[in-house]
Amino acid sequence: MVILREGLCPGLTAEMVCALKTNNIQTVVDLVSSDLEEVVRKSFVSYKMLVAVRRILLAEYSAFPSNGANLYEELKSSTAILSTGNRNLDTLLDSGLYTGEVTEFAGAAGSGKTQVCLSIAVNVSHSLKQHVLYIDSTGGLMASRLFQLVQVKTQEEEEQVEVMQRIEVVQAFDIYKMLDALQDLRCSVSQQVVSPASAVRVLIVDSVCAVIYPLLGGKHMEGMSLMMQLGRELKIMARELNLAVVLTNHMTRNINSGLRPALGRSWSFMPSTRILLEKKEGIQRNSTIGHTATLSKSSRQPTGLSVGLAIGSSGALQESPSFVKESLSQAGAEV
Amino acid sequence: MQRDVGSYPLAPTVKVKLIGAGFLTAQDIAGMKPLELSREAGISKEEALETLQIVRHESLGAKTCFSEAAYVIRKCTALELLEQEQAQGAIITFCSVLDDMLGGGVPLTKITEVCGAPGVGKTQLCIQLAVDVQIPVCFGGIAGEVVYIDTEGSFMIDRVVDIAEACVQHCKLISESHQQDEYKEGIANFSLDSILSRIYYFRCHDYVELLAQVHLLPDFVFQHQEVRLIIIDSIAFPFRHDFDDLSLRTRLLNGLAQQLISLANDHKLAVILTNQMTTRIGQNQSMLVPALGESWGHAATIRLILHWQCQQRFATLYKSPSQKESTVPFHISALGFRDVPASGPHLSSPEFQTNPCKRPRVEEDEQ
Amino acid sequence: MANKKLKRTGLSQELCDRLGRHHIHTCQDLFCLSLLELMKVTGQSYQNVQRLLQTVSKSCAPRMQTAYDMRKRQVNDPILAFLPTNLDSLDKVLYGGVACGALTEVTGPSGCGKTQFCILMSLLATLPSCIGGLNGNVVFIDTESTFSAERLVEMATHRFPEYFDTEEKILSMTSRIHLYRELTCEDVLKRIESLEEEIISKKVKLVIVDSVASVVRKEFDTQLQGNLTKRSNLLAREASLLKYLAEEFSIPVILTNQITTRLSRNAPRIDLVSPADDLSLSEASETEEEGVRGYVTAALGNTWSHSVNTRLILQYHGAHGRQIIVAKSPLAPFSVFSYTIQNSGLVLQGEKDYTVFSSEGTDPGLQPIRVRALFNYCSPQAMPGGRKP
Repeated sequence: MVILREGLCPGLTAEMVCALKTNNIQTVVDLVSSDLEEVVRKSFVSYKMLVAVRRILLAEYSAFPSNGANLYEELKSSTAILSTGNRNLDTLLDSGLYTGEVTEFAGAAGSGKTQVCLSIAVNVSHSLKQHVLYIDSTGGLMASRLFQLVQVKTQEEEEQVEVMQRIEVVQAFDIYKMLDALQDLRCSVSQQVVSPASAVRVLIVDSVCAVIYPLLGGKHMEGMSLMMQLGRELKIMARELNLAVVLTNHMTRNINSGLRPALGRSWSFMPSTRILLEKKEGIQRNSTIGHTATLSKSSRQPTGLSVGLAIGSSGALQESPSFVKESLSQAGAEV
Repeated sequence: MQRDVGSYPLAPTVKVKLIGAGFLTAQDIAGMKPLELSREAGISKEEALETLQIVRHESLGAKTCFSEAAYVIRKCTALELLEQEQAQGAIITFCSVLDDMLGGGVPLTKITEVCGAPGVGKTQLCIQLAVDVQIPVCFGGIAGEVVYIDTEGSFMIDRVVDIAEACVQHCKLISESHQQDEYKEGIANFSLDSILSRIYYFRCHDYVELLAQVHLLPDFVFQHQEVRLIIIDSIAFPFRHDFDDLSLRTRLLNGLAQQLISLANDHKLAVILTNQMTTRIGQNQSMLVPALGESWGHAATIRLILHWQCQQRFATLYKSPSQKESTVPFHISALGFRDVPASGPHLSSPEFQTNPCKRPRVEEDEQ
Repeated sequence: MANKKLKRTGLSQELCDRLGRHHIHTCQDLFCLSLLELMKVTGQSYQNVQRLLQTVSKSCAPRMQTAYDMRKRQVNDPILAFLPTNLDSLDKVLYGGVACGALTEVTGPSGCGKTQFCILMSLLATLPSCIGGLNGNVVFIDTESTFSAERLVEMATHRFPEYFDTEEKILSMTSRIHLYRELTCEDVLKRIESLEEEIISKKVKLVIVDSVASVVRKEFDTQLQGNLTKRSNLLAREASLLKYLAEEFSIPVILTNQITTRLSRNAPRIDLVSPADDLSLSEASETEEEGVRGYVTAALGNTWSHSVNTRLILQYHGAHGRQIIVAKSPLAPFSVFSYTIQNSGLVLQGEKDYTVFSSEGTDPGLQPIRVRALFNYCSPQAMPGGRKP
């Protein structure tokens, strides 16, 4: 909220600001929520001026209501649905990643989260020709692996270079660096440093859990508050900058309830869609469907939907017909 | 610039005062001067200056060496990252199948975890890598130094001497067969004494010492710019007993992991951690799994599990961002970590057997 | 190092007081807080807290030494690195003998010679360095009451007849071995905790615990929930204390262990309590029933196997031969030697030069151990010509 300062709006003079300060009114919120008659009685400010100033400030700083129809129109025109590159995953996500929303992939170690993220990055960059920002906090990103996936999609060198250039990578290994990176993204968009055509469309954070774990625990709650701030940043950015945000999360093991996504219940309200990835045990080396993805939280589909994923040397990407691989048969989606 | 003041790494009292004075987002603070800020918020002038510097991402006055990287957001395209990766080397073990499985050797800028049952060869692998990282560039190595943090006390200097001598011998043979100047130079700097003097050894007796040492590592690596490998053998031992509070353990381990990956990334070095195995009691069976819990599984980028199968040692790549999972046999000889010799009886990759064979290979004399 | 008070780490007094108000007095307490908590408790910013941690870390962290320094130190004092076992081939393979500064475990079925080995080592440690001893005192923690002083004297007189020619020498040797009988886990732990002062005052050069397994297995029934973790914690604590003592004083520590039966992979592991059961154990290991293939291996579990540095396994071989196996060692490859027990203690059989370095073997935690087979008791060759253990 904004601090009252001289010149903030016509009629707000330095004396008025001082007078208000002596009455403990420092921000716009304070002014708007205070009893004006009290203020006038205590200080020597004219009532009419104060009311005028208040009206202007209210008009400037309050949120505008919009009706549902407008909202729907706006949504239709600004939301994009981005395919993940894997038909089964798209089915689970109701045809793809929605901009303006946060999608979370949770899974145990080795269940394929990073591979799914890499596949999404490559697909968005290549097929949809959009920019991707990949924030890596675990060191799990290897550019050579990314390149392997790009080679699955296209064989031409020039195109490959273009695809790789559209993916930006930031290494952020603690919470403050990650918040800095997000702010940097915001600044670059708001200052229109980049043209709308090369704006980032997908933000991938792998993984959110790694930077938050060292903060949680203990007697104080600061860790939780930072976690919620991070969550809020991501949600606001998704909405304001029209991004699709993809997160990865770990799983923790509890004696009572077995495996469940980490970071607790407070975090589970944050993503709009949550998918659990699992690696099937006891699978033979040459089987195709080695992983399952289960929808655990969604605002559009029924939860409990489950599909099989083949995460192999081409990541989670669907093979294009020209690229032939031995013994790859696609089983249909299991519901 | 809508970022919350609360999300900056400021001192809590300063935060409270700023928020109380109405400064709620970064935008509010950014345009101000230190004196003005200190007056309005009721904080001292130094605190005001610090706050402004943090919000504006400037470097502070008396910065220590490692904090230089603190405020630089390293952003690069995937293409640039690829070029960087291709330019950096990998640390070879002397077991070629293992190197192939890992994609050339132990990669730099990543954390590799080596798990295994006791006695399978984790410390041997660590010692082998501590020697191999020092191989000169002309022989295919990366000519680096190594920090060896020992928590178990299994670092035996005699073994290091054996492995180092074997390595020097190997390189000497190569240089003799090639007869070029660069090889001669390389071998001149590569002797038993030079190898030993480039291994920096720390013995940590408990987890507090380990945490303290890891806190000091960034400074140490900054002073010894040639360090290319950090080995912690083992990270499990100090955390596995005397820890009633498992959530504390998780938090400390995750913090450690983040510090190590940050170090690995900043200074382009490889980190090797050894882990123990523990028994997990499932519904109707007990199996050996890597210790330290579920959340630790995410900390390491690459996980290697060493195990026995019927009198032969195998290494399984369990988790890797770029290589496929596979299992290869290896062999530990008096010279160190090697490939299985061609005349050995067990060469095929194993299927899972239910029991290792009962008797060791021993001459049986019947009565 | 964990309990080092913050006052002595170089922090300002005011800061120490402030931390003290939040019950943070030692380095350990400090490191257990997360960064945010530290910021709150000290009232400092992130950068300052990092600097604070650096200061405290500098005072807690271990000293650096290069491997070169370690080697030089070892070369200058070569004798102190190992305690020779007087069994030549074994010493050669182990690069000198039982390593100083490390834990060595001796395990095997009952009656195989573990206590004999311990008595032999305690004898050797008291010998002067010219004959290959450490010229020091020995602490022997006995939990099974199997230590026999007569046997000690017999071994001494038969093994080193030229040295122990007078009554006086034998007496002085026995007076250097300090025997403690502990019968519960608590007592053993307390004894180990009090060892530090003893080692300094009595100039102890060898610590033997015979046996670790017996008290632990008597008191902790692993079928009960929670006992497994308590047991592991106790063992881990003992191991780390002993390791610390071994390293700080550069002395060898020898522990003995028992055996257990491990059944096939799909059945939970059964811990049999008393070695007196090994007659039945041998049957189980010899038969190959469907689905229940068991074999005998070292007790105390997987975690314990990680804690010891070297593992020596004693087992039976044939009718009355015995073998000593080097199952886990950072220096030695897997090797097997035959021995018998005689008046002078353990004596190695076989060729003098055991230079075959086999690199095979199995997981030392799963190393199958041969126990004495049942039917041999009835054969006329059953009783070995040597002494009964």
